[in-house]
Amino acid sequence: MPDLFIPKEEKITPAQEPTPPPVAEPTRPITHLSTSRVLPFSTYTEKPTNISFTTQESDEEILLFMRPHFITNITWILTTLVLFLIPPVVITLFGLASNLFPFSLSDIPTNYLLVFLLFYYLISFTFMFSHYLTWFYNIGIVTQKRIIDIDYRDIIYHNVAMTKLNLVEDVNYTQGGFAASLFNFGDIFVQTAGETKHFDFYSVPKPARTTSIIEDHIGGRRHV
Amino acid sequence: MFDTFSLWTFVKFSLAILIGGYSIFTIVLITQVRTMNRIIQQSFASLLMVFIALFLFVTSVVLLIATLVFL
Repeated sequence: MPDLFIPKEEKITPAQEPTPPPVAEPTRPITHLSTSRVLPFSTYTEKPTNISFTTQESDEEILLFMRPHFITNITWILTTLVLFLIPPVVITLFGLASNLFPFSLSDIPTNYLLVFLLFYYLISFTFMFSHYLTWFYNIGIVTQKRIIDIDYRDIIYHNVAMTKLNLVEDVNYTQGGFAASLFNFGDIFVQTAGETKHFDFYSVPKPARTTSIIEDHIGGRRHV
Repeated sequence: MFDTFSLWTFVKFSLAILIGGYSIFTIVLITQVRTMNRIIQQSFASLLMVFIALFLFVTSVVLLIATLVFL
């Protein structure tokens, strides 16, 4: 019995083979990084030359070094200034209006007054130093392989978290408020697929540029 | 006279206890700074932080001795 329908065999020529859809080339240029040194008051350094961390691999290069913007320290700096000014103000007040107080500073032995003043200034200096350390050791590091978040709080607490860049799913930043807009700093949020879901860097300078640099390295565009 | 003597003795030992407590705190501070410096090495700045923490400890010890001996 003859076939009623015989499909024609289509010969696929090499020219007709289905081609994969073209991959869209990134339109945003890769952020260029310049080498610089980290100083005691540095808040944002690209490719720092004088810094390393404990688990750094031999072929691992630091791309970004971040701390909170220095303007975020203004509260404790002003508090320290007030603490340093209290003794001279009190002594002056006692001198100018001694009749207003029930006792005079001359009633206190000089030795005691001296030791008390020295101890007071030691405590004030320690207040300043401990706040400086809290700022100094709150660090975010981006290498070409991973992101490291070092948190240091209340002298006795520190936390070190790191994630590989291929585990990073999303990176975004927020910049809000008068000071943040004026001094160009903001909060960067890195979302990962790892154990630590969120890497948050608060009050980091140049958040747009930082986000852009991290983005350059999470999407396979690893040319710096 | 006895009351005045007691008052200043009380002040002296209170100060000594406070400064002693502060000395212990500075030891914790030195330990923490050294730990953080091991995690992140920042060359000169790291050294400076240890130096300042040590300075605070030495000053507190000197002040403690001065309190106990000279007051």
